[in-house]
Amino acid sequence: MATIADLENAVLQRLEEDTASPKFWSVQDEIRPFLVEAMSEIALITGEPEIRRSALFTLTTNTRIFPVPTEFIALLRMEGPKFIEKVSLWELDQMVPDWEGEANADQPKAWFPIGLTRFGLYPKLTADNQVFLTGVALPVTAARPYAGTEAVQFQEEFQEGFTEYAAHVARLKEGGNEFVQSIKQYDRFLSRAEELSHFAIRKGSLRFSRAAGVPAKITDVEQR
Amino acid sequence: MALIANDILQDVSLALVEPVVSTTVNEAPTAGADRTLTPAAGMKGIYVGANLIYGTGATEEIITVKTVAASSFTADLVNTHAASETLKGATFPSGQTDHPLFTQNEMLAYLGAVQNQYLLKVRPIYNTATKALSVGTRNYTQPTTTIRLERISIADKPLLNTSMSDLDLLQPGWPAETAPPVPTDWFQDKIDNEKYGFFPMPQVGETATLWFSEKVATALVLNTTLLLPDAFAHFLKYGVLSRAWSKDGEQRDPMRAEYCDRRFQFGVMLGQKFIQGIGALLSQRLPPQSMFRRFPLPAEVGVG
Repeated sequence: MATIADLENAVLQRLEEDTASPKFWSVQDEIRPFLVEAMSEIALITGEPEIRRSALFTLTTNTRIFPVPTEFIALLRMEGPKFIEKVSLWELDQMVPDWEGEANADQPKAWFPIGLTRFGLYPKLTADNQVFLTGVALPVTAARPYAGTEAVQFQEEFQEGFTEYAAHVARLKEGGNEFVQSIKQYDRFLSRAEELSHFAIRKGSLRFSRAAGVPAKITDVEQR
Repeated sequence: MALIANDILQDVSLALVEPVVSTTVNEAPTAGADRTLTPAAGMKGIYVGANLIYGTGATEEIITVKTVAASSFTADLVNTHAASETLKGATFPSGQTDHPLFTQNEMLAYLGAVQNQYLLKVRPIYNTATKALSVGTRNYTQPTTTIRLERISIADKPLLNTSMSDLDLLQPGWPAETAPPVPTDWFQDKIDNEKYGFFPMPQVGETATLWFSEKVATALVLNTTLLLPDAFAHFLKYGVLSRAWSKDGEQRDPMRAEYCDRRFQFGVMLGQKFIQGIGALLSQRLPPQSMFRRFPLPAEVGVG
């Protein structure tokens, strides 16, 4: 898997910088954060990468609200061992007005997102339960300053988009014509994002759905 | 790991071609007043009055530069530090101290305003709080970090979100009603700002659970952890830069200010679509979303 360091030189070359000792841009403080910024933006546009957390998440006894693990931008799915239905708080209030008072020793019947950083459980558990979580991954979880060893969690054909994005954002501090002419680079990044969106929809069109219910139409994969 | 205010302001500094402080301190000073600190990378970006983040973890503190010399400065320390602890800060030194282009407090204020603007428009963060109800008291003040109250429940039962207008029409005698003793409805209209009320008036000392979208109520300092998740944080940079390039003075740059504003608005639109797409809003629906624009910068903006 590629790392951020593998993309740095391509960015510096687009900026006409000496890759051995760049003068006008700092690799650690500018180029690497711009590459991470590109990956974050494409994650928001496409909902990729979508990962299933290998470590089990513990739903503790008598607790209703849990924090979403920090490696996720958003939680999409829960299973343990059966699929656990995703609902919304509004739906629960309408359909099961007394839901907050229920408690169940088995796995939960449903979960609901509370913004991006928390999720709730219905009903509360009377014993600890462990589940697998799936969500849209935060592309880089390491703290700043980035070392360059951070993995790029996207396929190679999309990585040029990140170098184009980083080169475009880097030229913001030049301003004027230099910056305006770099808009084309941002356009190439968006073009890559568009392609990744198509692939993401092909893989799972219910990624962005309020509840995993019956889809409006079958996906290309299902049709095949 | 969650970004802090200084991370965003450092990005802003570099875009404004302002030096940033990112080094270590040679000494191992003890806590106390007027400690001499020698930055390993020199004194660039350090001036009297500059705030810096010194140390990490348990030793981390914000220090203020008191005096400067050719290769060192003095500051009061609350903590004792080991040798070679980190020293960092976006200080915006250009023109300091008598004709600054930007000040740290100014940029922190921009960042605070931009973050709250994003939180207001997208509402990605929610929190809960409890409120002890007093017998005979109808109206209460919402938590200071509330953007919008979304839901209130008492004894594990959600209350109906109504309005005084509805109550006036349906039950003209409602202000005098006291049964049932536990409120069944809550409203926010026609009372003071940032307040909410119950119907009927509480007659027993119950505890209400408030669910609300959250903002940052206090002023940011350099090491404040951003409330907005990291994936969205770069949009704050563009919001701050838009303000920096919009203000009157030598740094004024309408073209880049316009670009940054559009990148920020694009980020808002992206956040709204993302939140709505995964169903993470507590409220049922968002207001109509802005159009998707492929290019943040319109072709007709002039160059200069």
